[in-house]
Amino acid sequence: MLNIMIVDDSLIIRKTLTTELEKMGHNVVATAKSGQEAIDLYSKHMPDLVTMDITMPIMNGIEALKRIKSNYKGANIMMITSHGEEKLVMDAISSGAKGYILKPITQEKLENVLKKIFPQLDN
Amino acid sequence: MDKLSLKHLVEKTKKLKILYVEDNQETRNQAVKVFENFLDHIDIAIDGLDGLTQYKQKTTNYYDLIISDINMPNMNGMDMSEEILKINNEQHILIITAHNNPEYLQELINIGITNYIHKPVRMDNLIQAFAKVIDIFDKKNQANQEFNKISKLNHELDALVDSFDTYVIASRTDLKGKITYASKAYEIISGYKESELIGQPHSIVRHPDMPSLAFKQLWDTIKKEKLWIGEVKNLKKDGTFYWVEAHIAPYYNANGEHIGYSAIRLDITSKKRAELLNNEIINLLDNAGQGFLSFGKDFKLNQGFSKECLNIFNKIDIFNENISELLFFDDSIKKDLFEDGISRVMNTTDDMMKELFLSLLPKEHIINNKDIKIKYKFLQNNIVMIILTDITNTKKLESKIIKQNQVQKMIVSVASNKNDFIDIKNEFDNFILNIPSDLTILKRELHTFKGVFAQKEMVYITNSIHQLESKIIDKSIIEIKQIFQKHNLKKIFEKDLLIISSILGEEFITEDEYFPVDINSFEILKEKLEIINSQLNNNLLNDIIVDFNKLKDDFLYSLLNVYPPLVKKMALSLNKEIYPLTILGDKSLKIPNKFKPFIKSLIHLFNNCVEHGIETSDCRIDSSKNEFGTIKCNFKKEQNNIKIIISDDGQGIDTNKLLLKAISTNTIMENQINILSEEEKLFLVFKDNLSTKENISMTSGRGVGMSAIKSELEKLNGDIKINNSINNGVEFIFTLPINKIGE
Repeated sequence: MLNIMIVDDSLIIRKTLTTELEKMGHNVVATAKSGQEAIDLYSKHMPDLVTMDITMPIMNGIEALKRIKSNYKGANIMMITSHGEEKLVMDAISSGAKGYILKPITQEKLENVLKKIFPQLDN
Repeated sequence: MDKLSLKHLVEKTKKLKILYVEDNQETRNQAVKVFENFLDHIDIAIDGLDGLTQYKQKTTNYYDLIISDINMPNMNGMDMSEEILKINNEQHILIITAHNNPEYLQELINIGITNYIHKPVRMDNLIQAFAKVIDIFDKKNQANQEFNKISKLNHELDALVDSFDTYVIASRTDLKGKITYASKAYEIISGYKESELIGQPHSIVRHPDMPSLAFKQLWDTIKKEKLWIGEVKNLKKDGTFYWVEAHIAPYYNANGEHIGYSAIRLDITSKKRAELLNNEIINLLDNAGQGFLSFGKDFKLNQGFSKECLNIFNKIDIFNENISELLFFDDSIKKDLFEDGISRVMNTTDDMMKELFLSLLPKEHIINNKDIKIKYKFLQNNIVMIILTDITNTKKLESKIIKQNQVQKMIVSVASNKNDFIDIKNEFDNFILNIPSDLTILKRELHTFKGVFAQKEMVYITNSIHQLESKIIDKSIIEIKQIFQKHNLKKIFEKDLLIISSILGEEFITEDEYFPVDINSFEILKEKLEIINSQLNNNLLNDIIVDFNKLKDDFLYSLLNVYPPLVKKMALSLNKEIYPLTILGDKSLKIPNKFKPFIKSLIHLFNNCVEHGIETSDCRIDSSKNEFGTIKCNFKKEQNNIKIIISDDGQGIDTNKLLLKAISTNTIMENQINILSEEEKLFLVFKDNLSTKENISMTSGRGVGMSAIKSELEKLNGDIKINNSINNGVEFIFTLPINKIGE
């Protein structure tokens, strides 16, 4: 079981992710609506994993990723992305993102990414 | 002797170490004085015995020269010399003698004395003697150096021969091919001992795989005393094989006679293995029908790609070409993504990152009109492999299925309501022939046609009208008419019609005996027919009545019932979550034919409900609403009126936004705002050019749809009431009078 923080400006994505992750037996410890909020909540909750939307108002996902990574080198962050954002995803990976999911979100996609980031997880 | 030579001589003599033996002190002192011009290192001995003793105390080669008197007490110069020469027979000794007798002097030379000087010692004699000694030394030095050089060369040669023997697979045969020599390396690679090879014919290592023709060529070549080079598979003693590149040349003895052949070989077994494996792989890849290729950091293609690559790129060779250019020359976005991604892959050592970057690269591309699927694989040494698969046929099949589905939908929609379709067709034909001169009417009618055609699933004409609408947005009526002509709507419409007629038959669309019949006349005619039928009971007449009934389908319910699938489709395309639209009302309620245009215009209202009324799921959850929106359509007959109520539970109409828009488009004046009642403000939705939505979508938002409803309603003397509630939705109540049927 992982403690997970969800960062997304879309409520529906936050809801979908929460439902799917909880169904898989994980614990959603915090949700953030912007990059700025994510940075504050990260140090408070120290989650095992962060799901990070790329395009958000105020501070985008890549900037938030960089800031979290600069303070917490070992942070596990995966990106939530849409078609056409491939270059941004590459930037995110170069900046330390551990994986990504292309929307729409499905349980299968989530399971595959989590397995790659946490190989020690048995389902 | 000239001065310069003397100087050279002194330079050399000064370096010499000398033992001077003389018993007479006075002679000694005089001599040393002379010697000091030539010599820096002089040891003195006072007689032969002293000289011998001193000589023995030093190492054998210490003194370069001994200068000695002959007649001395204890031991004379001759005896001393003999003793010294016993110790070192190369010792140079110079005797100073008063003798002149040649026999005596000869004896001196015989016992090994280097030279002699006559007493009294004269300078020129001394110089002569030293010059001679130095000359001997020089010659000896030279010989020494020569010897060192040769012995070094010999040593190197030994090492060379040794390593030749160890590392070079060499052999020699006589003229008949019998082995006369085999190197160590040859023993190792062939598995035979030299003793087992000597005297054997070379065919002892011939492998059965080698064609005999190859050996014929070999012998033909070397018999002409020419060099033969070739790759040979040889048989090892243990039955296995090895490959060599053999260089065979004629071999001559020291007299230049041709006595046999000499061969050296390079072991190419592993190279051959790799080659064979490579050939095998390439063969496999070629047969797989997929394009396999690889490239390195410079994006240049490596050798060794499968044949299919040439088919895909339609080229004769692609070696060394730039892969990024080859794949994506016509798509700079994909090219950029590809180059960026590959560079990132090459510049990281993290396998997981490599995999992630590769997964983001373009997965499909059209190359030479073929749909190509692209797969990437990172090999070691910064080499990326690409696997290209031609999926054109799969894609074609897919799009064919989609197209067929689309056609099927269109046919079902058109065929299920033929009258309606003919109606629309005639109206549209008329519209194209007589394009309205009023810009507003033109836009409104065009927009209604688009909605109707979309409802009929007629894709070509719907898309075409959509494109046309975008083209004419800010144009004048004259420009628009020109655009219409160029756009040729008729031709595009015919494309859809052609599909319909090819399936439903030519009659379906050419049948133009259709004309509006009012509902009463129709009913009267039908009743009359039924009366006749009851009296005659004729089968043919019976069929006529059935057909007759089919002509008329002006039940309000069936006219409205075209909207639920439309709303569903709209919701899907706009990503809105909406419960299925249900039509509630008396299914047997009939309406006059003239109501039809109004019912058709309602498409704009449903579009508005889906697009502007119902919020996105996100918004609805934020406002604590049900995630799914609801649109309702009820109708009923009340005395001489028909009421149609269409409502949604969306965000309602924002009258402030409407007002702002109305002012910005000069629909109303700013000073009118205060005069307007809330209801009058709401009615602004029916004004032309007044959509509060910024984006223009395929189905609504051009501000002409809603006005179409109002104008159709006015033709029927109908009435509208709008109940609006911000955040709770809006309700439109249409009242249509039916008392003046036949008007």
